[in-house]
Amino acid sequence: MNDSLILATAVRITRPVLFLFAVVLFLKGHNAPGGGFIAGLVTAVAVLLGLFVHGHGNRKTGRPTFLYVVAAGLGLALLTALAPTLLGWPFFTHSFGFINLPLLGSIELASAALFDLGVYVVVVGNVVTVLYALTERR
Amino acid sequence: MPAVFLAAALPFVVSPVLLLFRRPDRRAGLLSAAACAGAFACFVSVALGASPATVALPWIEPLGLSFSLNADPLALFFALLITGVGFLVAAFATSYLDSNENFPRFFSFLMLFTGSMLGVVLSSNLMALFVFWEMTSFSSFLLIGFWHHRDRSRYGALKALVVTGSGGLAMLLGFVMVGTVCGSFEIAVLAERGALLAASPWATPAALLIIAGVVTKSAQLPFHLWLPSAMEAPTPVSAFLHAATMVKAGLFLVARLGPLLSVVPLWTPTLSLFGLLTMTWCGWLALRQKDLKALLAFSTVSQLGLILVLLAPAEPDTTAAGLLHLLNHACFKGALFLLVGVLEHELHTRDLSLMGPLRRNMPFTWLLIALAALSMAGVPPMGGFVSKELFLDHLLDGHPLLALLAVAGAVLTAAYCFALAAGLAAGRRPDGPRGQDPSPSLLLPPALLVAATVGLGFFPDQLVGTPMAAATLAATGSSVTGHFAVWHGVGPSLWASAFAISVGAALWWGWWQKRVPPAPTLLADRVYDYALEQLETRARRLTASYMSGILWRYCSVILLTVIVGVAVVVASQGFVMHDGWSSRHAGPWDLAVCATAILAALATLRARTRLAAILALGASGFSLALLFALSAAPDLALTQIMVETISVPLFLAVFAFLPPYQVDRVRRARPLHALLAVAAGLGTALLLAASRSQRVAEPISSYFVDKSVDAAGGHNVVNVILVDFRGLDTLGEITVLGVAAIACYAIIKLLSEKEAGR
Repeated sequence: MNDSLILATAVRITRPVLFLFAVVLFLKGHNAPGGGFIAGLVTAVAVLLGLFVHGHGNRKTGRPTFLYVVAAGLGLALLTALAPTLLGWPFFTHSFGFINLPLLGSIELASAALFDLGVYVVVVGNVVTVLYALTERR
Repeated sequence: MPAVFLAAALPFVVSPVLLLFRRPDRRAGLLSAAACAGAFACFVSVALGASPATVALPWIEPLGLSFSLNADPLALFFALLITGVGFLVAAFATSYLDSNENFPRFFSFLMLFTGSMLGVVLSSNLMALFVFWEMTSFSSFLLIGFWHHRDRSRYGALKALVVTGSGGLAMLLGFVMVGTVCGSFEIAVLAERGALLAASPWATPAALLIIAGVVTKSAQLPFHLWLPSAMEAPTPVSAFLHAATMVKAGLFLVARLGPLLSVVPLWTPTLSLFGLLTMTWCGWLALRQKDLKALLAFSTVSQLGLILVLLAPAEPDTTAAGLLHLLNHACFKGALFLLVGVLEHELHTRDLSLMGPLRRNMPFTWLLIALAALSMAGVPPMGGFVSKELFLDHLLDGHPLLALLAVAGAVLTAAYCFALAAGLAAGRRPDGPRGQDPSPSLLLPPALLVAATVGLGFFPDQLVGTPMAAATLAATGSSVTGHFAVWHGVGPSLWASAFAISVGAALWWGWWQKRVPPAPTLLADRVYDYALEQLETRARRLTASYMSGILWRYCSVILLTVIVGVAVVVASQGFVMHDGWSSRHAGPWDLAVCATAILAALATLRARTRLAAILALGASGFSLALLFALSAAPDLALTQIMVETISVPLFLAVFAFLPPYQVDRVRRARPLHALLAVAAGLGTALLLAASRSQRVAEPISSYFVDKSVDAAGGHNVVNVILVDFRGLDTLGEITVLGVAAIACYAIIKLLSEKEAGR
């Protein structure tokens, strides 16, 4: 799309930071500001920066690849919500626990985080689908 | 695991598994047949008392809903019929379908249907029954449209879905009325509460609505239109769904709910009238068909009418006769459909007038067709004779006009049966296509069905006397007085039978053979087509009237709705605002940020170019984010920042699609727009402030804050609410996101293709 050297360099540096920021936002989400939705938006921005610099590259256009991402996210969220019913608990029962790891200390594992991951994936998929579709028109 | 549950669940388990097979894999058919056989064996074990007949599967108990199964003798009778015929049809279809057909899909749909149909007959709860009822309509839609590249298939599939689906919805309304009046949806409980229903003014409407469900599903006049169109389905489907099982769902419901609903005076006469008229009129239509499948379709409708007449009174003797004829019909009609499938397969035509002499070319096929047709005609000593005698017995006691209709129906039935059997024997085209008898794998399933209907003629009581008596007891609550026999002694019904057969033969010989009148277009068909076309054009016109595609109109409508909503609330409740609507006082920073937001909004309005407008709008949005941050809402602030950030590339991408930026075009409407915007903004702000200042209940937020760590293990309340406390809402929202992505993608692709096509 654009051959700007400055933009390309800036994106090369900022993109990993953005991805990392998204990961932090996601992991922190349960206890500090952040969460799947925001992390999803940050990731989408990172993906889009790449789009600005490299265009669609040699990606096969015309295929709704990212719709599958949306479907996967929805499926993950739905499965997390359905899983407790297999154990006889009501729909959407979340559980959480803590495990102790060496070096890292106490880490929380929550099924809600899996659901949040579904939200994250859907948000990324949605934004990228729409923007890719809009931009690959020409 | 109880055998009933196992048998009912088996088809639903097998259905998705089948999709894993490769396309031309015939083993998909064998697996389906095995599933049917397994379910059949389970039902036999239940029938023999080796396994409990009821399984409790609670669903939503506070609403009185359950998926409990109750395999009483009536349900077992149907379940055995479904799985038995299902087995034969699956076995037949396995060798019948061409090797390039999509086997996994076909058999997956077939199993889906089998499971739904078993659900209909086994459910002990009306709502569960309704769910399965609609699922049979849906799977029938899929199966009729199996050859979806054909226009007629899609037309027939849609028609079947529209007719049976709308009847099903009417029935749901009836179920809700019955359930509300009687205080339960459990069929066993309902059966004891007939008195409650009889005393209620809702009884008649409820009965009429349920009748609507019955007559649409069982294709009674004037809803018979969907069955002939459904003949576009592959022949095994026609044999299974549209002769042996699905169209019997309506009859099953009549037998099941008869004791409850026959307290409504209208119930029995209405159903009997539907049945008699359908039997006679569609017998007449069947006689005029040249297409063998159409002939069988109309004949099926006619026979369903006959059974409906027998089941409508909910008395033990007629019910037993009705169930016997139902079984007979499933056997001979199922066999006939399969055999017509064989003919089509061998001769590549279904036209009766193009057939060669079958007795010489395909002797076994013809023999089976002839035997099945004779049973349908009610010729002794076939099974059809036994049940038709009982039918004539029942009606000759009644009103003379009804008796006349019944005999006329029997005459017409005999006539088209002779036309079928004898017409095929000689063939109208000696030089017609010459086929030969197919392999035993294709002849065996129909042969077994024919053997069943012949056997039912010779030993009706020995074969099915006991189970029929049990089913009748379960359906009506009282025992049968008589028993089945092929010889009833000389009486009015025997004379009527003899009359019907001889006049039918004469009608065929003297009139039909000379000239087959052309098949008429159904009046019901024309009404349906017209109604559907009108619905479509009118819906399009209505949508076009408010979907102008002009953005400011949409915005005006939305804002007006807000204003009217606020105005209604204020007018009815009065506007009261106490102190303390704000949780904190605005500091200098807040004011500065608000001022920036307002200035940016004004700048958006004044912008001469689109890019300037977008940038100004972004400034306004970022100011808002700052305000959120100042108000100790970091999650909101972060989200707002991200949304604003993504809006920029979004706008950039959309730029190419947009027409030139014309601020002046709507200048005249500007004062009005300003008024709307100010009123909506001010109204919303005041409403929020007012509602915050007068709490009528404790805010729920404190509960969330308290429980967040203990119950959900998270310190970020916003996130905990999103993924845990209000997780279902979020699931709904991300579903909307997904749908929006698909819609955006589709619209953009459509636009590009449109432009590329130009």
